[in-house]
Amino acid sequence: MEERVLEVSNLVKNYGSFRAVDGISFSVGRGKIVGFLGPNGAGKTTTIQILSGITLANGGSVSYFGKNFSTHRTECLQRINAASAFNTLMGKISVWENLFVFAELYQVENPRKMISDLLAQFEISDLRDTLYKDLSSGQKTRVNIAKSLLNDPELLLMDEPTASLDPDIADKTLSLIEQLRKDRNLSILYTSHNMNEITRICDEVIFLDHGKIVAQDTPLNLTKRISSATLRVSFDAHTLEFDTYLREKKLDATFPEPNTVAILSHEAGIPGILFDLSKTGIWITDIEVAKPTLEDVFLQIARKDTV
Amino acid sequence: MLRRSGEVMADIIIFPLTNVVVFGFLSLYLSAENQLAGHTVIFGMLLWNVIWIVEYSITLGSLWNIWTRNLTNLFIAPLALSEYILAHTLSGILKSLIVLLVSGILSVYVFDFNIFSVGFPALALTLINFSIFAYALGIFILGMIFWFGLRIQAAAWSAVGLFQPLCAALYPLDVLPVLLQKVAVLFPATYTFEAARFALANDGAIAWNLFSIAFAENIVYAVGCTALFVLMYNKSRDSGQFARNEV
Repeated sequence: MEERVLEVSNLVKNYGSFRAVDGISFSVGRGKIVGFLGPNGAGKTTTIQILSGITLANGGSVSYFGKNFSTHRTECLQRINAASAFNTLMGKISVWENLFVFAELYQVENPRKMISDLLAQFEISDLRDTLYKDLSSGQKTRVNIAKSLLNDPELLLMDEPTASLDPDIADKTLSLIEQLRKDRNLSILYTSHNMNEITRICDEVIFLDHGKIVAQDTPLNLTKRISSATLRVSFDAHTLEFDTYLREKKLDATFPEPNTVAILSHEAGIPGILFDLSKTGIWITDIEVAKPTLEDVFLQIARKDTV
Repeated sequence: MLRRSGEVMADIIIFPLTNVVVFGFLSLYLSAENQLAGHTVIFGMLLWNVIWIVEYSITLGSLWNIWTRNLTNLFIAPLALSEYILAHTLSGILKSLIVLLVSGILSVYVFDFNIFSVGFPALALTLINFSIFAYALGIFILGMIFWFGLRIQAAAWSAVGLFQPLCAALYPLDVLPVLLQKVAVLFPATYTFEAARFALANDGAIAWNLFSIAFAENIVYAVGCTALFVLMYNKSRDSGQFARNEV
């Protein structure tokens, strides 16, 4: 049986009469990356805040490593850590000094060696004496993640760690997270608005909406819930000729460009369409199948369509 | 951080020392007519700085963490709330003692006033009482900031100022109107200032009755404000304000 590092049971949070988190339950297994998605106001941030202990829940329970968080707070916090794009370190002290403060708080056995190793791993050893406020966004992100690894955590709560990073640095950060999971068997609860990131690194995705879990599965299985796909066909023939074929077959299609048609169909129907097309004598120059993405799933949920 | 932060340097070193210089010259002026009156003024200001610096360290120390969005990082570390507050309080006491030492030496040479002449026992009792009072004020104000958010952050550096006239820091209690005297006795700092002035006027003699009342009131303040702080801290976590403070 998979070992659970985090278990959330029937979590409830009310802000006055507004229910921000509505009885959600989920778990994170050891070495797994779980994505936490949802539109703004879905309850993601509130849940992360409760999991961090900085916001109190009105009901339900949170357990880390089988221990109740509210009764074993210090013990649990010693074994987890967090990195967020929205939290920074002290600007007027150096990278080294910031990391040293947190190494002391986490009672790291050999703080100097741990900090040196992390700085080297993140290729920021040359920044050790730089004031934190003088770092670029990408450098700050790397220092924040280095801070979150000081205690060699078993679970990391990451709240949009790549927000405000340029694509190159964001890609490097994701590679780093993938490497960390591989090297340390680290479990991660990861929130992001970037669907490509979630698809790339997460083993499982939890969709929240109005404080409730509305979908929970692997990224692949979630996208399979949308059965339609778009078949994009480029052809060397008169558009009218193709239009006649489409009318005859009663297909839902548009012409985004001259000599290109986008046909919306169930995935299962695509081979049949291609077979029928091959018999029309129309010269096909290119075929592309656009399968549904996690973003499509997200949009369906956000727009209240059924997934 | 202290040596790299102009704002903090100004607030806990330059501002208190400037006050000592201003009130030092005032004391020189007053001493020409009445030496005890002159000494009372500079003595009060030197001691007031202790309250100011300890309270400031507790509240502004946390505000700096909020402003730099680092407070959450600290509170998701295995750091107990009591350890966090104790660290800021001890840091404030240490800073206040350094400033007192520097300004005390300055006043000996420039203003012909030796604060250490009241003797170690009276000075120690005074500093202990002021530290407890400043702690109580500091955590009460910090609790309010946690609960109500940064819109009341100015209380961190301004609220303590309200107590300076009420606690009769720079003059004897009986200078205040009778009504204000009745308010003043509600504060332990009032008795501490009275006891300190008694020691100043009587070669370091200790007014045990005044120090005892001050200490008893301080305990009530410290326990009460600690309980209120924990209540406000939990309220802020319940309302989500604690996390929103950094947004």
